[in-house]
Amino acid sequence: MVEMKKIVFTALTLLFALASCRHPEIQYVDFHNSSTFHPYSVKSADVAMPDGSLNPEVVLLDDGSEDTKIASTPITSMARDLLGVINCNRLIHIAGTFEGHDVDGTPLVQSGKLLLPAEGPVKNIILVSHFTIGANSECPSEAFPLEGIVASKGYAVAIADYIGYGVTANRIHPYMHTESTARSVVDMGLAVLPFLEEIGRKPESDEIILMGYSQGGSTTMAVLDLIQDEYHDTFKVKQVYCGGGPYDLAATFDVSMELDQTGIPSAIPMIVQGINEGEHLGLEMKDFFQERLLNNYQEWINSKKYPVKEINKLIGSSALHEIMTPEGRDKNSPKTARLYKALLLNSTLYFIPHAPVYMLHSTVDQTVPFQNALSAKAWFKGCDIHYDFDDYGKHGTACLKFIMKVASMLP
Amino acid sequence: MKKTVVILLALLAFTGCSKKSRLETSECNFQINITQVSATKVYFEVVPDNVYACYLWWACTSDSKEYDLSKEELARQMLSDSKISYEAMKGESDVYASFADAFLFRGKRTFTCKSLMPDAPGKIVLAQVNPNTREIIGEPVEVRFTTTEDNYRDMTFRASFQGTVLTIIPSDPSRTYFWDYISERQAEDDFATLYLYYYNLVYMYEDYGFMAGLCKKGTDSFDLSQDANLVPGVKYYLVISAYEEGEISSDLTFYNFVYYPEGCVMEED
Repeated sequence: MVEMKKIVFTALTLLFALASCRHPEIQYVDFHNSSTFHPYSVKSADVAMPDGSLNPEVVLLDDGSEDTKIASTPITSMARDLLGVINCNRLIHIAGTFEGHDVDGTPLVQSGKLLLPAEGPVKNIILVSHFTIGANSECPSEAFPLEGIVASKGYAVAIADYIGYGVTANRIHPYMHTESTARSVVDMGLAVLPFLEEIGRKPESDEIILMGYSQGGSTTMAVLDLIQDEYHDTFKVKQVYCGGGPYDLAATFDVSMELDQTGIPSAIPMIVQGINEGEHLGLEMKDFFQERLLNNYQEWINSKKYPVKEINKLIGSSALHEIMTPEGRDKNSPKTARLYKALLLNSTLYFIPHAPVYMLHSTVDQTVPFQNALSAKAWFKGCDIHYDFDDYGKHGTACLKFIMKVASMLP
Repeated sequence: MKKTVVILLALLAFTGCSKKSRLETSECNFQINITQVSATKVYFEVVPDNVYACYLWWACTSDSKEYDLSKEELARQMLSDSKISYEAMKGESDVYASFADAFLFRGKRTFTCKSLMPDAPGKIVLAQVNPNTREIIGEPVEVRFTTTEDNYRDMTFRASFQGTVLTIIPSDPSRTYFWDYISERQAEDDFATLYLYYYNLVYMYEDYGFMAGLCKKGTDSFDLSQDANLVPGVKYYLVISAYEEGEISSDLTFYNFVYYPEGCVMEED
């Protein structure tokens, strides 16, 4: 293990020295400090390819739609616009582990990725909550996460793998369980703080920025809530960027129940199973999943082999009655009522944000309905929030728009 | 690269300008459709003839001093209150939402006004607002309604444990009621107060059509060992109230208990 750390440290030193003539002075890293981030892989990658296109390794949010344009702007062109606002094309990717917490609060080693600009000073840390993924190969520590692009503007971007991904891929992901997902993000932030100082890349400002889209949008609000409650002395939040989030989880789920239709079939079993796991509801999946899903969800979802789009195809229907049992959809069932109560407890509306928030939502988003943004606006009335609601296309394309806007707004 | 940044910024600025100008500043028509009235709630829908028209609304019953104001006076007052709140908000930060984003509604929306007085005349007043000048446009719209009779009961509940089996005995076995429990930590961390939690839970169950299946009548028992979510040694709040005709219809009754697998222990306040 010590040998491995030495190798990683040497690689890290060489990479920084090679990538940045301005920052060759890498300090000694004490990898035995358990409170810090422990790298196990260091690589560098470019955001843009020589032909100006986005690095094809970047993991885009794939909602299964065939959207290729936002209004009349092709997505490929938007990707090029995105590249136009960045300062540094080369990013250092440091995958590593940190001491996080399991859903019951006990210590758990988790993984994540820290992205740094190869050159130039680091302005702030951005804690990113990642969007919904299916396959472990898409998780931040394994891939090039889309949100990581904003590191190119001179930021240290820390993206935790939620429980169930990276080094904890053998576990069930507590999907949409706000307490554990938000805590993973904050724990990664706590580990990254001393690590950046140890490698001589301490940010110029102590203030942090929070960011996330979709699942990550809602989790970002939960992260803000958690920091306000428990870590306000450690983290001062400068700005929050969230987009396309299911802030009102019960309403989001109920839209699908009432319409007997979902924009993202994989999310239904992921929510039921994830909330059951996170809240220890003790519900049995046989009461909720139709036979075909019940027989296959361990392989389709929990094996972490398949991306969201593939899981949607495997489920094979967007009609709720083909995904969930009549009992699971029955609002006279106490089990369904318990699930809804847990959804209410995992909504991220019931607090007062004390930091400035930028919130984007596409009015035509059918995967995470626009109603979520309206609920947020109603709950957060009078708070310091800039709402950006417009027709930004479907959920996946609006994600690109969100990243582009955030990249443009970051100084 | 710099050229691209300039073009992008210009595009974003243009988008910003064009979006702002899309908010309607000329007079539009609004329709208010009341869909349901109960003892303390009115459910209604606002349908503007232009989705970019911005508006404010206020609903009240005759117990409120605003009820005696004319629709013009009430519109001016709610706009003035919103402006004061907005200025206070701006004073706290150098980054803030626009007035329209923070305080005005747009498009076809459904609303529920809660906490009204039972068996009382009420009214909803809606005013269109110019999002740029923050002035009222045209004549406010007013619709009237009457809330239904109060079904509030002087109903009490006695709760006890036999091992982990919870038994609730209502003072009036012929009337329906609702109960729920939540850990002290969740109630305080997520909702600040137990009242806020309980009302939000009931509102959610009402909104999504669960209440009929969750209400009880007469003595009710439930074995808490069936709930895998309960943590031994943790304190929970039990909340009970009468619930009839779409309303919480009694004072809330609270009990504190600590869960242990071998048996729950009621605590004194």
